[in-house]
Amino acid sequence: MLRILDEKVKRTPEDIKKQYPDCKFLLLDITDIQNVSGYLYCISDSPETFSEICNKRREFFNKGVSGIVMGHYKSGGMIGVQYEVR
Amino acid sequence: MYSTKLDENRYHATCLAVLDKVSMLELCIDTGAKYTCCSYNDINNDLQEQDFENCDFKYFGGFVEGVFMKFYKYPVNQFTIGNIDIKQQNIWITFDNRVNDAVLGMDILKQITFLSMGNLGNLIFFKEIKELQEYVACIK
Repeated sequence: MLRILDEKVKRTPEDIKKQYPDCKFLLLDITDIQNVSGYLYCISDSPETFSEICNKRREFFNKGVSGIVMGHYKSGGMIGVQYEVR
Repeated sequence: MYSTKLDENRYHATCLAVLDKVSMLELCIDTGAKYTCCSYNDINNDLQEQDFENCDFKYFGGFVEGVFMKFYKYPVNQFTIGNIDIKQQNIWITFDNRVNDAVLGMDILKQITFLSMGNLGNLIFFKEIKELQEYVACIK
């Protein structure tokens, strides 16, 4: 499910990951790539809504608002040892 | 210099990929991965798989157990790790909707200098060796 939160106070990704573990979230209005913080717009708690959260990021991008999708479903369980199939 | 903190026993980097659009994405730093991979959604969800019909591709496993997936070569004009610009790069994108995590692999990592500070839980990237030498001199 995609939950719109539209928060008005800037937060760090670390803070959001603690509150919403195993979720992806959209952080808006990033101004410093070295010390990322932004406004939490929405969270996605399942892979089924991954494309929706990316669509939201694109909508904001088209309005000139920078955004990044961060976090992982299932504690990043998707990342295994990569191998190339020849 | 760009540094990132350990997060649940992983390091992630905030990166920019620039082609016709600018994409900001979070990549898991994976020295065990040969290639930098992500979903097309991470880059530009307007992309269509049919536009890549004549592009170079590879099959990678490791994202879903026992399954390999098709990834297309996607050249970007500029790629940054944090604030460090490493110019033109190729990344590999998939249109398989089961992929929703992104990895920064050795194809890009091998081009830059980085240092893991175990005591601080930081991974630090340097623009050049000289910057690393200056950093090490300061922490002696």
